[in-house]
Amino acid sequence: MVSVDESGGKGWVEALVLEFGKKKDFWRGGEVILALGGRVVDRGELLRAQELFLRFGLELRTVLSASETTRLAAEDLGFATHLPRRGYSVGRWEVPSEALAKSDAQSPEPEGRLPGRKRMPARGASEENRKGNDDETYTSKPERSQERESGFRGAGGAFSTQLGHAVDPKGKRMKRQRPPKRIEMGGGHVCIETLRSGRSLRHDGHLIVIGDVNAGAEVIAGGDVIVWGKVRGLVHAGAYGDDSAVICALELTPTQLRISGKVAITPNDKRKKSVPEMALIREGQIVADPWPVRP
Amino acid sequence: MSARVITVSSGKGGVGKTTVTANLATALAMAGKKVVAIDCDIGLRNLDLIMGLENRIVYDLVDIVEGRCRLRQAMIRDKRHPELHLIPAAQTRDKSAVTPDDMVRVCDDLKNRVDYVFLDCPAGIEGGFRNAIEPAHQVIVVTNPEVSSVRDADRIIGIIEAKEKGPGQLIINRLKPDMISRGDMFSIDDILDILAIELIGIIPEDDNIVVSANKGVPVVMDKNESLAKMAFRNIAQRLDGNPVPFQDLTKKKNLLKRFRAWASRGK
Ligand SMILES: Nc1ncnc2c1ncn2[C@@H]1O[C@H](COP(=O)(O)OP(=O)(O)OP(=O)(O)O)[C@@H](O)[C@H]1O
Ligand SMILES: [Mg+2]
Repeated sequence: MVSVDESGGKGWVEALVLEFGKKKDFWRGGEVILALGGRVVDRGELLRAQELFLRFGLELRTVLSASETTRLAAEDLGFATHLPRRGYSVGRWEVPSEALAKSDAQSPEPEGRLPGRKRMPARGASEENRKGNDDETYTSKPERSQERESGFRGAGGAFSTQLGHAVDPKGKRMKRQRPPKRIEMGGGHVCIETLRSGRSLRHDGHLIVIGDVNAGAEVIAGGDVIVWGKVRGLVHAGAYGDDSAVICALELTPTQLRISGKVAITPNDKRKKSVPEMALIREGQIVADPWPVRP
Repeated sequence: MSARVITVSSGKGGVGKTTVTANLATALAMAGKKVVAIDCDIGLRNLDLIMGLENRIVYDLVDIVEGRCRLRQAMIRDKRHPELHLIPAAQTRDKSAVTPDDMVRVCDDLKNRVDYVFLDCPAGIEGGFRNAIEPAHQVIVVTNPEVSSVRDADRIIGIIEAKEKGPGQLIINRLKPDMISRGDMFSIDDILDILAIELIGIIPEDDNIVVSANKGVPVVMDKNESLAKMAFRNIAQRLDGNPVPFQDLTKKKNLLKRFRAWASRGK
């Protein structure tokens, strides 16, 4: 997802070139959703933008705009003007099925050890859950590891960059200055439940838990883990070996945190404070920053 | 009449399930309710001791389930309270002698005879616990203000939620106000923060409980008032939907404030 500010003159395509030139290897491969807010853009500009993206190996597929003129121009050129139903930033978000929650009562033991770097998680994740991913959310699963290396996941994802103030598709101004690490929600899973001791929740993609993760419970994800609640148990993000995975929580006092192959525990002197934090790997170590990240 | 089946659980052993069962059953019987308490801890029975009925056991739960006696024959009537009965566990068998379906059948048979059925769980999350959970309308989770019993309570709550037996209601037993005020013990707020279920009672650490257990006279039958006796009586009333919930809350708060005041006086 590329968002372009409404302010600023005609030079927005050139500004994009500059921005992209800085990280050209980063963007290679994939398709682009261009969000233009209320800006009025004509055919010529859209074609220039398309060309620009091609230069970086990206295919411009979708143009989102609040402006009727822009939308007509885009449609004329054969671009999509709304987001596809799934697989993109508004991809399919599953609410946990009974199947996923089932790891509890029937099997008191957690299934095997935690997956190590680049290893698949133990078979514990239920089959239904896996199937759900395969047919719905992951469009390019086999190339997974390559995508990881390039930092971009191609068809299943989208990315974002800002020129000045970003504008989201609804045209609202976002103050964020630095580009987010990635906005790609191709394979996500939302669990609306407090995970109590003995529960194990696993997912190949990103996991969002709306509730607490109590001590004695474990959450393991191939991607990021976001907990809208307190983390007291074990959380493993980037379980396939993604060092860029993060763990966010309203309160982070886990028994243990793991990101990729790194392990961290809550410092003994950590005061009990209800400050939202984001844990990530920096210089080879798991550190926690205030969350959300302020500019 | 349709009996309410209340299961008393904890996960961890020795936190006071049997004590709670005996006292709540007795308190409700003293308030004029028809009550049966069933000891589900097959092979390690205790409830009969605490209720002072050990020497009256002829038949037990396994005898009912295996058809050696009728339900009525295994119900020991507590002579002190005509409407209080105990169905003891078998001491010489193990928990595989009874299945969850058996428990549902027994509770079904009791349905039209009493107001309350209390099931005293064994420790752990295996067979005996599953038996006692199956027929439950309501599950009470007993915990102590201490890390491992809270952790086990969390596990239990997770299981009863998965079994759609509701979130359960919490009793915090063996509270030592002075230890909390020194910060040596989980506070009530800490426990509620983790377990996040409704609190229906707090029972202080009280030597009277041990004394009364040894005598086989539950503390609610003591002539003298004690904090523990008051706590059990209040919980029994709350279970019975009486008094009104708001009053409950203030009562709990008052009790807490009293504990705190009591603790700070000692300094
Ligand atoms: N509030 C209290 N104050 C003092 N002693 C208590 C209190 N509650 C329980 N006890 C004592 O703790 C011991 C264990 O209690 P109890 O047998 O009720 O636990 P339980 O959970 O039923 O144990 P089990 O898991 O073995 O069935 C008993 O000796 C009892 O007298
Ligand atoms: Mg017991």
